[in-house]
Amino acid sequence: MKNMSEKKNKINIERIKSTFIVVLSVTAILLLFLLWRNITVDKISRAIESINEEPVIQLYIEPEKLVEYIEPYKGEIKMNGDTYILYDNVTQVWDEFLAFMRNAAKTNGATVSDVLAEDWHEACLGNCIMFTFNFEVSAQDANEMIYKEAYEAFDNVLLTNIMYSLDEPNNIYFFNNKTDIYRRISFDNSDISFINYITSLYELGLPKYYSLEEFYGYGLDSNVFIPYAVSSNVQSYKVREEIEVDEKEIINSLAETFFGEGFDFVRRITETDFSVSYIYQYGQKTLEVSHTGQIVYKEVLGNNRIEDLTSTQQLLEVLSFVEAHGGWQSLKGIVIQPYIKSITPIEAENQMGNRFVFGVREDGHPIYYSNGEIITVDIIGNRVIYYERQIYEEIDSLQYISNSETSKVIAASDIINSNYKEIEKAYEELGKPYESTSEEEIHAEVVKDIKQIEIGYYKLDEASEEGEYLVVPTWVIETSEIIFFYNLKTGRLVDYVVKEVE
Amino acid sequence: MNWSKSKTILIMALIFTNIFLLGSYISLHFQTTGTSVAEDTATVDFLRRSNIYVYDEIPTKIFSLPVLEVEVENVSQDQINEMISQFRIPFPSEVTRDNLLNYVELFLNENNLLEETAILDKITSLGSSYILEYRNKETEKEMFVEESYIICFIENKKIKSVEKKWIKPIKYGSKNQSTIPATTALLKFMSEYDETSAVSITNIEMVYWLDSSYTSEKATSFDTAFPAWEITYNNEKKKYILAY
Repeated sequence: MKNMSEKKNKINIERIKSTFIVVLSVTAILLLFLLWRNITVDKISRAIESINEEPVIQLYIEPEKLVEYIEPYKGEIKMNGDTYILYDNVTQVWDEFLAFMRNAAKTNGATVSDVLAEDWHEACLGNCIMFTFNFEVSAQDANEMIYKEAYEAFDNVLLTNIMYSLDEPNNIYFFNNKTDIYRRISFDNSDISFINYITSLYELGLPKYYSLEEFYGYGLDSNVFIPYAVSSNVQSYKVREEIEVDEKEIINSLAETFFGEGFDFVRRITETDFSVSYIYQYGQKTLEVSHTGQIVYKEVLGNNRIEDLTSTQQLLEVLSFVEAHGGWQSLKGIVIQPYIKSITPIEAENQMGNRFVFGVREDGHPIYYSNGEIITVDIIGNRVIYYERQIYEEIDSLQYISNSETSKVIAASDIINSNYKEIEKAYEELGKPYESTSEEEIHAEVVKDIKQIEIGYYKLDEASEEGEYLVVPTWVIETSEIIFFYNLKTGRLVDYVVKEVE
Repeated sequence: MNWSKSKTILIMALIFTNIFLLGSYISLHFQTTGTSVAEDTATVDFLRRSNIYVYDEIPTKIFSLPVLEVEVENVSQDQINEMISQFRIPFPSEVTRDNLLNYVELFLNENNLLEETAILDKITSLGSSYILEYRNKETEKEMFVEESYIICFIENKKIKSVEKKWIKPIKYGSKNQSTIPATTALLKFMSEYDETSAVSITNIEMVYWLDSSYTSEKATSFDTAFPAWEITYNNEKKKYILAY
């Protein structure tokens, strides 16, 4: 009996112990939770703040993507004395050539050497293809970043133009118009696939271009080529600003990308015209969204640590920065076709960097705004100090808005013949009148002054009541001082812009 | 295996763990959220060596505050002058504090110039001239919004001029952030003060401050005020030190 009672007591004690263990375990978990919450809310938020003080651009864009941006602005094919200019269709030809050039450069025995300007010009005389970039490209840097490969033949090859003579299939020529240096890669390669490709293009029939000399015969040594006739489907369309000042949610989400977790403690100022400014600390970083939809971000370099980067590495940082702050499409997601318009050196806070200017194409033709560039980014080392963005998104394509706007396009030569006096007048207004007095001499002077002619779109300045702008297809005639935009369908002057002195 | 003994050991271990966790939690949760008297005294001594004398008690509290979204009222001085010229109510025959206040507030109310959060700060008299100064104290956190004021100047028994700079609190930001202690603000003040003459600090308090050094060609409608330590020194001069 006594044993039974002792056994019962023991079982009770064990039960109490088990309950006690459960209670103590639950209490421990509860205390751990409280402690964790106490630490996370305070300490982690402080840790985030300290991270925010030194923002680092994350690479949102893979280096392989650089291949889409490091491409020529135009290509020029010379075959049997005829010239063909490639603008919107240059990418396809460039891709073929790039593959060929990389194969050639990595062959054993491929060497690079300096050559004279005469060698370049001599090679240009025959059948050849030339690619022109808007910026200086480091062949080795681009090759290493995009393809993770380095070829000895690409060492120190900085270029703005590449030329391949079909008559000299074992040489590729490079020219750098920033330094006036000519180089050549010579290789032992029997691959004629690229020559065959160009020949097949030629046989398919490309629209022929004529030099201004062929048109006018003024004894010009001009590199400007224009087509005799253009059958183009380009047409006017309407756009609106990608952002309007009353779209507060879109503006706030964009602003948040610049200021991160510290966004709640950023000064936000709304002006009476509804422009919004965000200021972080004492103006260390500012973001302005103007009532016209222009977005400008500025950052003071101060004592922030800067990592030295090559211009190709900087390009990748810039692409990533834009991707993270608005993206390579309009803020409402409408896709744009960006290209690099220029890369120029800048100096800020006693440090050297680069300004990257991006343009946008529509159906392969560049779009021009009178009020600045589409995307501009200034970068020092690995830090973006200035970002300006003004994107208009297409809302309506106007199919033949009037009888005059058909597929008929006025030839560039006719535009010059009908408007050379207008061009002369613009120079007079600029305070740099032509010296000639007779009509024939003025015509000759205008023709001699032309640097480039191409088809492009021009956004008109005046907005409709609904805030829509008209974008018209134009002949873009660039002279030494002024860029003229003539309506492609009517031939009338749309606008002209005085070029900025570099 | 002796289960009973194992359970006893486990209970002991859990008791020690819980005591440790509880101790940690208490020390974290109830740790001081301000500066100590010793810190304050050391700061005052340090400032004194730099010719800066603190005659006010230094607040020890560390605040946790959000930003304050405000509406900036742009009042035209010409409009106010016009209102003054139209004001016909006679000046009280007997000058008392209440009479002065009634007189001024009649004018302010008649012209919708008096605001809900305006509180009378002080009345100064200089012979037959009086100055009534209102400050802007928002109601939720009961903190002054600076620099925002209404000042009425009375001269020769009539309102001579009124200066109004008004910042209307709209809403607080959604997140709080700890502020710097007053002692740190005083040290920042010292580092920014570049005159050699002695400084007498008579007041230090936490306010919401709209930095007016930002200038824009366009007028501002909405802005953001930040917590700042307002340091009053040398005869009512004010210096604001941002408190984040």
